[in-house]
Amino acid sequence: MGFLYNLVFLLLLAPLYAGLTRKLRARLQNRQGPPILQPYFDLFKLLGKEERRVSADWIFRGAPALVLTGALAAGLFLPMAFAAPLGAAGDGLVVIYLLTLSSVGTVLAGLASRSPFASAGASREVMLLLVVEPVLAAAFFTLGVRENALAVAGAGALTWAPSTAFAALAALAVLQAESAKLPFDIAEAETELMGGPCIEYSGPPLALLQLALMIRQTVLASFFAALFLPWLPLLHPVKVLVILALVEVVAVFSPRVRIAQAIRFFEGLAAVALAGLLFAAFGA
Amino acid sequence: MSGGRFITTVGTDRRPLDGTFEVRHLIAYDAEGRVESVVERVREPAVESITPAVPAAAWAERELYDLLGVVPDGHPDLRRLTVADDWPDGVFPQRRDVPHNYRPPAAVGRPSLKVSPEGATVVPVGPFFPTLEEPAYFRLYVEGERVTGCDYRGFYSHRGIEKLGETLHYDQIPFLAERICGICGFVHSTNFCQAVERAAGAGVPPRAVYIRTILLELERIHSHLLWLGLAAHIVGFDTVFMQSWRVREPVMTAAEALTGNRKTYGMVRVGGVRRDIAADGARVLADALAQVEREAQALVKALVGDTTLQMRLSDVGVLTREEARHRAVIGPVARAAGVPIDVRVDHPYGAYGELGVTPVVREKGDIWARLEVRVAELFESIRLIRAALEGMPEGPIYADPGEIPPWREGISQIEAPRGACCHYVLTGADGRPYRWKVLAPTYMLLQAVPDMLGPATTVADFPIIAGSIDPCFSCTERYEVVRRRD
Repeated sequence: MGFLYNLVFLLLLAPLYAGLTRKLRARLQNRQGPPILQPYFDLFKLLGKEERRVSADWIFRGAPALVLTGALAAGLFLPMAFAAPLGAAGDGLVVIYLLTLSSVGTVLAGLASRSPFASAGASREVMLLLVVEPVLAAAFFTLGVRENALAVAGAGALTWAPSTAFAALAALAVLQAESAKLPFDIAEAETELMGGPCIEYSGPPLALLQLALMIRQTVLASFFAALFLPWLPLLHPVKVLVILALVEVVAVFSPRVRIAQAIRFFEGLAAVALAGLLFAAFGA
Repeated sequence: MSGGRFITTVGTDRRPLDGTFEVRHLIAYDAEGRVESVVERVREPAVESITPAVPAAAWAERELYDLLGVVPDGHPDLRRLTVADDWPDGVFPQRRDVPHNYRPPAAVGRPSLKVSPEGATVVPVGPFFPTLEEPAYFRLYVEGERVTGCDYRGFYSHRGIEKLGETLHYDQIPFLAERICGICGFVHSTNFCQAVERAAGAGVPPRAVYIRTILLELERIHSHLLWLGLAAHIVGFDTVFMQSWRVREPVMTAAEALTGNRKTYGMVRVGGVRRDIAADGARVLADALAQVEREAQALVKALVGDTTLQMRLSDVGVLTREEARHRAVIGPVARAAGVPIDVRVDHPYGAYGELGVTPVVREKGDIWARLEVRVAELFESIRLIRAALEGMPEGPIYADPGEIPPWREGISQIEAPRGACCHYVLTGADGRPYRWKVLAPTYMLLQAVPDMLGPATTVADFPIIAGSIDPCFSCTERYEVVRRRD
């Protein structure tokens, strides 16, 4: 049941969430916005388009698949509405690893594109990854220490304590950055790098890449929900919507920061996350 | 040239008249409100370059060679500037013996780019400038994320509009002139008319002068709001982009009520204006101003309180006061660097002498200072329009200038939203100008962009630095596509 739900949810509903958040953004900007189903239309349109390849490199061709597989696999280790389908095979650390793998796919896509914009995007993605991952790990271990387990239960009780609040705060910022949303959409940076790693993709591979990025966002939101909102698992779709809406609202009211500013921000946040971890170690 | 500001160089082919090429450097003495010409007439197409002494003349002299074929001897960088890469050598379109619609056979040309410094990666921003979606080609020399320098190739849309103007009558050119720019078109048509009026010594009725002033300020409001939105868009702040364009909308509606066009087209003619601002038009305008003022205040409050945005724009793209003088930059960019040049104050025209303008000056010279200057000017413009509506004299809106006498010169400057814009006209026989020269503010500002790259400038900063001068490539290049039926 969980297996089916997770797959269907991620593959079929991720674009819907993208459409809903786009609508929300438009409304906040006093715009009408595109139809909620627009991301589906876009994906279908791209699937029917000719593919212009800038590189015969198999890495260039394979990278979107890696982004997608990483995100999807991470989703299978997460409890959503039901218990995690592959929960027995791995804990939350596996989720983090798989998400990183998915990000590495984006980096490879950028590097293999051999465009100055794509490489700049890839290098920014790497830098961001390096500062964001430790924060996520610290937040995750905070909960782990408190619960004495690294498994993502996804259901049951979470006792709120100062350390959990620290962890939640850190995880929210990570969510913003990993979803490539403003103020941290530095690697894609439309007006600076014109899409960064994605710039040279077209047609079906671009559709794949875009779908993968949407799925990654829903996986991240589900991860956050499983960790910090473990009540009423059947409300999973609603929780994801609320979290993604929150991310979108933050994005709407933030200008893009420079990579150096982002690094400084996450360094500060790492201190907060580590403080949370210390609190947890002492039982608070 | 102490105290002087280089405006531009006008090259005129006078060979049919007296066998010479005329090279005229226009220099403004802003403190004294004078514009002086330094004129040289030569039989052989070569003059001594002033660029080594006046670096701001670099492009103007490159253009002198490019379009007129007069070589500025001793110019440090005489690459082609305006003409297309495949333009044949030895054909100089500004010369009288080249027809305005001359089309050279297509050829293969390479852009004349500087040799990039050793060890630097070149990041091409353009030829289609991604942020502004306009044709402009910056080549950034990059080490990691750091930008160490840049080269520029532009003028992709140069269409020889000055040359085309020389085939048209004085009453036709304002329509052409206002289409030089999609934002500040009114500046160009008014500037052309002012230059012709000055050349002919023709008077303009006071009411027409007030109407021109009102529309010029209306244009500044919408241009500054447009810039604010674009600047926000460049740093990824699309919410402000959308909001500031929404706030701008009543200005466009008011312009439509006053002129019949959302852009203030078709209003100006030599000797006055075509349409009066009637009582109901004035009411629409006043309502629009009230709405814009209220909403802009809310927007500005949100902007100024935004620390992230301030962090992004402070100490970035700094142009010091000395550099600003050195490059002869004008407009908000100069005023943000503590150089209080404002044509409305220094060389009063229109109703500005009577209305009194307070120039907005800041000292820091960074992008945030430019933003502050433009925002404050927005409210100053609203005040000016209200004062002009209040004090608008009655009377006619047009006085027939009669025949425009030939062989007279007129120089006119207008403070466009982006800075001083200058038109030079030499009147000719049969109701057409013999030479018409347009200098858009962006022409000077673009040359100062390399100076704005500091040691800490990154690839992420570059689009907003280039954007902070409010570049208008079509103004600079005097762009026009005209299909004429002869």
